[in-house]
Amino acid sequence: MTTTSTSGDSRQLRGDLDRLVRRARKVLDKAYLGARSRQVLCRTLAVLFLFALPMLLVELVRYVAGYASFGLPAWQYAALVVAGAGAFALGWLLRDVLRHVLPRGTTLGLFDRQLKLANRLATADEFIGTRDRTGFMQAAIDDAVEPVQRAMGSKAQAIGADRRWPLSRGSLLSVPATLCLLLLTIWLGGQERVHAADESLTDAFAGLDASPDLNVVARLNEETAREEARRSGDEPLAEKTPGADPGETADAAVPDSFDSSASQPGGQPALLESESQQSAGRPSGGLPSGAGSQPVGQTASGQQSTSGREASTGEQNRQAGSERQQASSQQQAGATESSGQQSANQSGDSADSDSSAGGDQSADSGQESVTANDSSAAPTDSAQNAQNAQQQAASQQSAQQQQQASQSAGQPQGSESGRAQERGRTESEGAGGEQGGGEPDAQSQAQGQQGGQPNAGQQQGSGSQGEGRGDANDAIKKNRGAAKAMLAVPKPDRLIGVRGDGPEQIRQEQSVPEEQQAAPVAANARSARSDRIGSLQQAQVSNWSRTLVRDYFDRGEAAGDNSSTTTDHSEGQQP
Amino acid sequence: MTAASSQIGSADEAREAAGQFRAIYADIKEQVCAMMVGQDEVIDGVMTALFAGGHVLLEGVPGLGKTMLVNSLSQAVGTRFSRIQFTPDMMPADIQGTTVLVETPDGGQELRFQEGPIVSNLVLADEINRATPKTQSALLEAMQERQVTAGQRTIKLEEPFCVLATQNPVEQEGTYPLPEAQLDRFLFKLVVGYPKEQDYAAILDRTTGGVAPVIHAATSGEDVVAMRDIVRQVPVPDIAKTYAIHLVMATQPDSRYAPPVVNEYVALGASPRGAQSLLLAGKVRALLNDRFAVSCDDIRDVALPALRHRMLINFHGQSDGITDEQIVEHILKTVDEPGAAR
Repeated sequence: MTTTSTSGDSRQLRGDLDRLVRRARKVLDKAYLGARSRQVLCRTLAVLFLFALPMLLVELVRYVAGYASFGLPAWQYAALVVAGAGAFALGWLLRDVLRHVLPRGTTLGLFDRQLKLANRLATADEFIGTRDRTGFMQAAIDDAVEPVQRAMGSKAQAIGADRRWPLSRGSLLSVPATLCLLLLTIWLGGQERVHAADESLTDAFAGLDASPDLNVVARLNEETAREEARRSGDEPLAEKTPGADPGETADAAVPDSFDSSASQPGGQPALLESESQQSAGRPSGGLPSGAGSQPVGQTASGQQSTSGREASTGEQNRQAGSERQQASSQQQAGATESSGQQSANQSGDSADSDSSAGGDQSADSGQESVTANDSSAAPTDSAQNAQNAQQQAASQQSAQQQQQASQSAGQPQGSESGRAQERGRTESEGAGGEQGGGEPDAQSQAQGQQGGQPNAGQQQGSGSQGEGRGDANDAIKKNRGAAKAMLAVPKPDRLIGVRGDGPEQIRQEQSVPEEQQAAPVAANARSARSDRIGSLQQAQVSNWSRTLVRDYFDRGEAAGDNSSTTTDHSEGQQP
Repeated sequence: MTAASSQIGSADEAREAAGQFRAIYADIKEQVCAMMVGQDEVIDGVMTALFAGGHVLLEGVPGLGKTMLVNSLSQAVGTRFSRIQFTPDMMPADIQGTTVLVETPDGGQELRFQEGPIVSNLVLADEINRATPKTQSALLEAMQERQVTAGQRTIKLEEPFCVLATQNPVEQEGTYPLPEAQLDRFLFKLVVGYPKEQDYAAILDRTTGGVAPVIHAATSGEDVVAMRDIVRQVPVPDIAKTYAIHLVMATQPDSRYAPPVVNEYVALGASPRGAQSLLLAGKVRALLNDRFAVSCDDIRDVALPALRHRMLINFHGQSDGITDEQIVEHILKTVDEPGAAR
């Protein structure tokens, strides 16, 4: 401690310190690189999914856009992700390494820590470059000579190097997320939307070719054309329907109806009419068909009730309905099915009765359709059924044709009276035969024969449900309620909320008194004021009160007439 | 000692001055230890603060010899000593002094400023937390500016000036905790603990015997001032300075070097006064450790007493039982000194 370093010693010490710095820097750089690499890798793991995400997006866009697959094998997807993450980590690490510069003091601190030199080397290295050294600085430099020699003979070790893997939760969760994204990308990369769609379409078309639906449609078109030809000759439709198969008409579903009606020529008109009715039952579907069916509906509701209408009117209506059906059957096949099902659901088993009235409803709104349906629930009069045996026979036939007859409800059954009785009977039989068997049909025929009775069509419909009640008023009553509401009948708006009080206005109005003239009374008509007032009822007073009053007046009398009344009053108030 | 007090220009002078410092330090400590038994860390802390030019806050339960330590130190140093027993009804004038009416020798009367007990070299502020904040604040100017202002009069305090305050951590009823501004003015906060088992016998012998220990003055106030000049000339290399800065910044929440514990439990960190305290105390430790520059080891040695009272533990820390010592120790483990291979 007593020696003082010279300039030569200082140069030698600086050279030794430089060598120590190089050795320490090599070790520290290596340790830093390792620690930083681990840190960068862990942080890269945390964002690894970001490298898989673009690939997934590219594959997704390719798939959605319909482009062909890239045809990359699975390992190449993984290789792309790893390569991208590796490049990212490498760039990050390279940037950090290039920016990392260790100061000399920090570098020599490695030996100070390793040899427990209490920063003597770093202090000496700092002070040795100082131009204006104080005594303590020089003493510190001299004090570092011996430690420098010790450090030169030792091997640098990275004491305290951070060898941990700073794995965070995000890093650990990112790996499975990346794997999931990668697997999804690989799976998506094997999908080709265009080819797959072609194959499915091919299969679908192949199935359609094999299915009988197309043949059914073709036959349907042909039979529709024949029906047109028949109607052009004013051939009654009802005469062609008796041959319908009752078993096939049991179901109201349209495809089945198509099959059944197509299988039997006689069922074709009923099929067409049913479609017209079903399409008319829809509020929206009624737009194209309403033009043609509107007169028919009028006939059903108004003209029909007036009776005496000619069958030609019904035929015209029927023809108009069939034309409308032809126009809308292909366009609204699906809607027709749904409406047919709806009408069937509304009446339950009496889907036929529903449709029987619906034939007229095709011209009217849905509300009228419900009216006819409800009117079909009119009472069934068994007595009338017994009187019409012939009509029972016809109703038996209609029972077999219940589905067709229900579809033929588009025809103006109720309007058939008089000369159109036969055809109306047939259609009504079709309407009533579904539930009530022969009886309702017979009733409907009987009602159809009545002809002139109002609401004949409704009564016919009521016969289909076999109820013993029902007339025009009942039908009107049934026009209200849930069934009406289900057809979207406009309802009055409901006021939501509470009406506020609002500002209160007080207005004063001047009222002019009305002059009233009292009746004149003659003076002698008034009674005398000195008359007796009559008998007064004795008040129920106690003896004490009576005595008090008596004493009062007795004292007044004793005081004499000279005493004033005031005095009497004052005295009287004393007690 | 005159050579030591001047600017040291050579290494030999530095070595001589450092040698003198260590000798004086050893003499003073020997005299103090004649009365005090054990408590080496507390004695070193008090003497380090004395030579570093700072003030010390001694905290401990009653009966541990805090007052006796200060009294012994004042006798060993050979400087003026005054003791102020802080009470709740004490006023600032009782510390700084006031103008009193005195009789002149010629029989007249005049107003004369009577200095308070603060005007001394070593001031023992006993149970400082029992005084009101108004009275406590009377010490602020004296501790930082080394002067006292009373009325129109400003009195420069004589060097060496050192305030040694004590406070009882358990009897908190009727006390006024020191504000942060005053705590920050103490160089060290030393916690006086119970003596060790082997020290009890000597304590009992010295305090219960018939002969009381006699403390001789090992030095004077001028020597203490000279030693302070020597301490100030000890250089601080960048590596130690950086380490001290990192430690202080680590006590500040949301700083770059703050560990998670600090961010969670510390409301206020140390101020630059903390770094000054670290370096000044580190210089004393460097001289005592036979070195001529401050090292990171010196900083680390004085970090606990220099930083423990400069942090304010938040409510979460108090509720979790976190103490200042735990925070500082965690910081010392977390913050690496420069040169660490990280």
